[in-house]
Amino acid sequence: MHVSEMVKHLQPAFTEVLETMFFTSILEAAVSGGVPAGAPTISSRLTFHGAPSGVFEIGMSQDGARALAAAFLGEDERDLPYEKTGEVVCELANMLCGSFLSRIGNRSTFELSHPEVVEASAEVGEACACFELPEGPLSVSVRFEGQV
Amino acid sequence: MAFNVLIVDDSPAMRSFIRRVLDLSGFDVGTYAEASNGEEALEVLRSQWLDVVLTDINMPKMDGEQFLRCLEADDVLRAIPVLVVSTDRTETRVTQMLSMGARGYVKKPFAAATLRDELERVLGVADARV
Repeated sequence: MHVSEMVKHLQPAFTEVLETMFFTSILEAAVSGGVPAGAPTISSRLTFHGAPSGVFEIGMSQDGARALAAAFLGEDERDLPYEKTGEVVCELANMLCGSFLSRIGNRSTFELSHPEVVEASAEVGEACACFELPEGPLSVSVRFEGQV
Repeated sequence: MAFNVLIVDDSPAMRSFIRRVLDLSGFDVGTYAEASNGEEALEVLRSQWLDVVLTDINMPKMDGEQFLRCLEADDVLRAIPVLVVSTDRTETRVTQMLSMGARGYVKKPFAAATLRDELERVLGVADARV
């Protein structure tokens, strides 16, 4: 599957995760080759190994992440510490990546690394998108390694 | 009858989410135990009896696959039903884990009712709700 075909699977993968477990939805989607304006202030990155392999990273504003985390955990966002928000953003990255890979893979299994909160990467992946949620923009960048 | 549940996942957020959805779904939970990888989970299981295990696959130290192999190799622990909860929804992985001894498989993302229904099926109870 060519990268341009893979990008089409990002939105349905994201929609499924966000609606099922974060009780939110995508208002608007923009597929772009670059990082959107308004740099995200919390990012999570993980690596994936299988067919294909690469790096998966998401980013969003800290306020938006806190709102999503509160919805996920069923807690008041005013009391939510940054550490817990980070844990939820990492789990979001894990599920989004898994959902995406399950749609583009050739029925082969994959391994995901433990996601981590990181500084937003300046490097742009081959598959990028930005989704507008009620909580703010959620950006994604997928960089493939080796032959796709 | 209340069930004692072990949740094995390297994500503290996911462990909290699972507890929350099980409570909200009305599933009759006695106590929760938690572990962040297969190795910790084995220690928990050797120190207290639990009725069912929910486990992720991708975890550091000891992943879900290796954890399942250890359970199956233990004459006592193999009796505890295991439900896999994972982002990997490929047919290959589902088949693999079920053939290794898992009694059920729930794909992330999941709705609360899906998790509850699969737990009830694995435990062989028609309605384990409070």
